[in-house]
Amino acid sequence: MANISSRKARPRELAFQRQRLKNRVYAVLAKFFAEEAKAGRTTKKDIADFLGRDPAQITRWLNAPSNMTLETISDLLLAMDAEPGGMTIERFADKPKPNYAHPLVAGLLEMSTGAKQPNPATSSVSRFEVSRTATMRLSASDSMAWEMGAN
Amino acid sequence: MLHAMQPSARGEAACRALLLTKELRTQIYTPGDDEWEKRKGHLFADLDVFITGEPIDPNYMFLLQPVKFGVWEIRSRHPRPGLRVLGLFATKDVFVAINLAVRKTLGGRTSPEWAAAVLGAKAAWQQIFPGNAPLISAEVNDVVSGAIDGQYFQPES
Repeated sequence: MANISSRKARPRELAFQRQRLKNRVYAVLAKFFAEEAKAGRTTKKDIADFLGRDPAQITRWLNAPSNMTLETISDLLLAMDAEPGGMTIERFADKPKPNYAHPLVAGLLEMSTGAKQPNPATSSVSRFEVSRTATMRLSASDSMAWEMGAN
Repeated sequence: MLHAMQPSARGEAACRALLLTKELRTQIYTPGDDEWEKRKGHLFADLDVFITGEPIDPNYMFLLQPVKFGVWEIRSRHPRPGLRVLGLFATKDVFVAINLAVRKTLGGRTSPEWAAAVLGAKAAWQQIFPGNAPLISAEVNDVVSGAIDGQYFQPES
């Protein structure tokens, strides 16, 4: 509470968090649909028939996160004989530390900060190489930068 | 100079590498009016899908024609105007993002504007990595982990 009571949300922050939620819900739903379809347990036509909708509408729903409302999600899941499980909400401060980072990014982070935590300022590192070939450098200028996130 | 983009989401790690060119970085990090700031919020959330290792599907990431160039788009479709980030893979899960385009300015898929955007991305790659080819494959699992089955490119007719 103390973290948010003293400030006002910025437009980008609100937009980011809304889109992130949509994207995450969509990702889970799209993945579930793909797996069910691959297993032969459902098709867009099956869902359309069950919901009494045009198949093109099902395609639109499954094509983009922003096309979905909570009602849509519920309907789609019901049509696939499913519902969300294991729903939890966590405070940002209580989120577990990620246990994986891409080696390139992890390497850049460590090289740029000399520590485990990112530095809010941009810092340059030199001659970072990609694993695909031993010699392929990711910058013609032999330097890259670690950039803090957007919010 | 390339810039590795950290997740915008709090408490997340970069499970895939998204590298921005200096020009693109300037474009998306330069503050704008409230409308553009809001639009950027959506864009950053969409870029986070790649960075944080969320599942990828063809509605999100698509291989552009000609396939042999290896230029992919990341789609940030909502709210309007839809945006497209064009780039190429250096290696699996390492995407070098080069252009940002407003979708409606690109016209139909076979338009000169699309062709110019793809060629521009390819040319920028060659400038950044002279003598080094990008990772080119029409098989999505070759270039990115965690992809959902689907059609990731439009076969040439």
